[in-house]
Amino acid sequence: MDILNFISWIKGGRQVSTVDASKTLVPLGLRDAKRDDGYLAGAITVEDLLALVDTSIQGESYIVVKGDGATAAENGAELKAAYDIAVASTPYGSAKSSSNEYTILVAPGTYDMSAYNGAYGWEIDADYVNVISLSGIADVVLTTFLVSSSFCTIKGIDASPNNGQILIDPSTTSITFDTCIASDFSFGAGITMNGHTFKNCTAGSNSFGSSMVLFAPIPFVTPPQSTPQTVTIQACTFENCVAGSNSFGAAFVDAGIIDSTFNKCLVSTTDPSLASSFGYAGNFGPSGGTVYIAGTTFTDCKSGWYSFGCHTGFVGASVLIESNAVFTNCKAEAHTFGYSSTGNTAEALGFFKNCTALIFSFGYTRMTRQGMASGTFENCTLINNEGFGGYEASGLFINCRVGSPTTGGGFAYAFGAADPGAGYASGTFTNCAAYGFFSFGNQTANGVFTNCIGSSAAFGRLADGIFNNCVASGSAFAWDTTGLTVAGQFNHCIGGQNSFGNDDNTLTNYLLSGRAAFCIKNYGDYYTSSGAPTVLQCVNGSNVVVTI
Amino acid sequence: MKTYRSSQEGVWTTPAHYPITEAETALFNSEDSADDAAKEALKETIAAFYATNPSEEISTEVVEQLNSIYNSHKPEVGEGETYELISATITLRGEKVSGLINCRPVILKEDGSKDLKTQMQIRF
Repeated sequence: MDILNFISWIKGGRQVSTVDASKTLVPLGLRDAKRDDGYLAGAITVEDLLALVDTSIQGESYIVVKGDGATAAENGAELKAAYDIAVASTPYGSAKSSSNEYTILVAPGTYDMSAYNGAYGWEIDADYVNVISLSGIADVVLTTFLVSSSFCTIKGIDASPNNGQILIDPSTTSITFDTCIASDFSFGAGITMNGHTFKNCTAGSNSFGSSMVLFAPIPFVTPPQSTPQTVTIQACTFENCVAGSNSFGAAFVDAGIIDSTFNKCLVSTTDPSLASSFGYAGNFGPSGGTVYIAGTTFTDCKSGWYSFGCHTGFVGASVLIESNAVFTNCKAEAHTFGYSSTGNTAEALGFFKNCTALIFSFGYTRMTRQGMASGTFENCTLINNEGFGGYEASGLFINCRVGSPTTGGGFAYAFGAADPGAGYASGTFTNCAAYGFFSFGNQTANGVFTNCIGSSAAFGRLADGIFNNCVASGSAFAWDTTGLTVAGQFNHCIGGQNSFGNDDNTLTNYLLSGRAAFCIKNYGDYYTSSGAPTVLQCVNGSNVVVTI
Repeated sequence: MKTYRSSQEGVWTTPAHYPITEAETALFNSEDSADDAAKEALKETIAAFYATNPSEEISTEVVEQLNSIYNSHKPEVGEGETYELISATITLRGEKVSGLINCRPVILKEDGSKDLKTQMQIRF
């Protein structure tokens, strides 16, 4: 057979475009060492020939899964075959390692892995094997699967159709999930996580290191009816992640977030009162337990109620936001940034900058004397009332606000002023304001206050701190000092009725004390300083100067 | 993990918690509306307990440990200044120690008034 045969066949119209692959033969030269020319003429069917051709695209450290099967099951078979190749691979002749990984590049499509399911769906169990969408977006659709391997990247996977989950074995570490989507109870539901990274991932409720699981079967979780649930997020990074309620470190009893980073993460719920995330525990039961946040930064994160360090157990629980926790540009609503229910403690020792909450926040407990705001609070706002240290405000407070001058009123219970009648404001307060009643030390104001604004019953029942350019209305600045000498230093401050001692002898006490000058407003008259700071002059309602 | 507080050097407190009984726990868990009043009363009782700012008894050994930690982090103050502790919080978590000291140097004037210097925060 030579080229003349081909010319003759073509001229004779025997060139074809389709054949019966199982019966059509292709001539071959079969190797035969016994022959002088080394080959023996033979034939093979087209079908058998094609089966011998490797049409896959792969290299030493990667393989491409085309996902062009006729069914999702065929796609699944292709992915499974590629995974098996990856598991067995030794890229460049060496065992897989952090510097010698193997990557499965998966084309967009739906992959049915049900034929290969273990206890919790398909299981990715080989270290250093990455499964990555070819397009980089979440267009590789899988059903529920479990990652029980470490040191790998899972990118562009969407398990959310049919309520699929992406599950993580608690024994793993250093997994990167990038641009993945899953349903409720995903990305570490019910487990303690260590060293994982989550970028651009979206999940439903009870996800990203959450243990608020009420029912089986969720892997690795014992329902709370029999075992207290604890979750810890340690050395994990979350960037641009979104979840439903009870996520990012939420548990029934103990929740810890340690040495981690949260950047632009969001809890999305239709009802913000159900958010309960970013360090939440309690579930309104009588249990003790702890919410502990340390060494962690939260930047541009947002949640609803019961978040950023909150315990809603009723007895014996505690919330501690350590001094090395940093919250910047974070927004939440009620019961946040160090809050605990009656019978618990809450301490906010961290850095809080440009953070906003609605009510009951920033180191606060209700009805007890266990809320402490000892950290640094800068440009933080409590839209409504009750916060910034229920019992003790001993930290640094700069440009912080509780309520507003237009909507103020009510009971502020802010800056070391809790109900009932407790609270110490012993820190430093600069340009801070609380527009409702009871603020800046319900019991004692012994800190340094500069350019601060309060309302009635502000600046301490006892006031022995230093007050510069501060303003309040009635019963402020040592409003109950009967039998006591006012010990504070008041520089250009304004109070209302029954302020500065609320005692007939108060003004005399001030004069005798030789303290700095102050202003006082009483009924229709007001008093202001003039000349030497130890001289008190009063100006009545007719603007007539009266020297006392 | 246990957290200790101080606003007076050498004096430490750690919150004591209400000794809830099994019966009270059951009451908390009750979903029977007939128990609502009793449940509210229990909450009030618990609140009253905490309103006394109760502290657990702290052993001498722990107090010494806390004082040692505190003193190792307490800052030096300048000449003519005294040191005023505002608040200290120390957490012992296994072998790990963490905490925060709020304090400020103070200058006592001849007229008896105080010049409070900028508040310092020592984190560890």
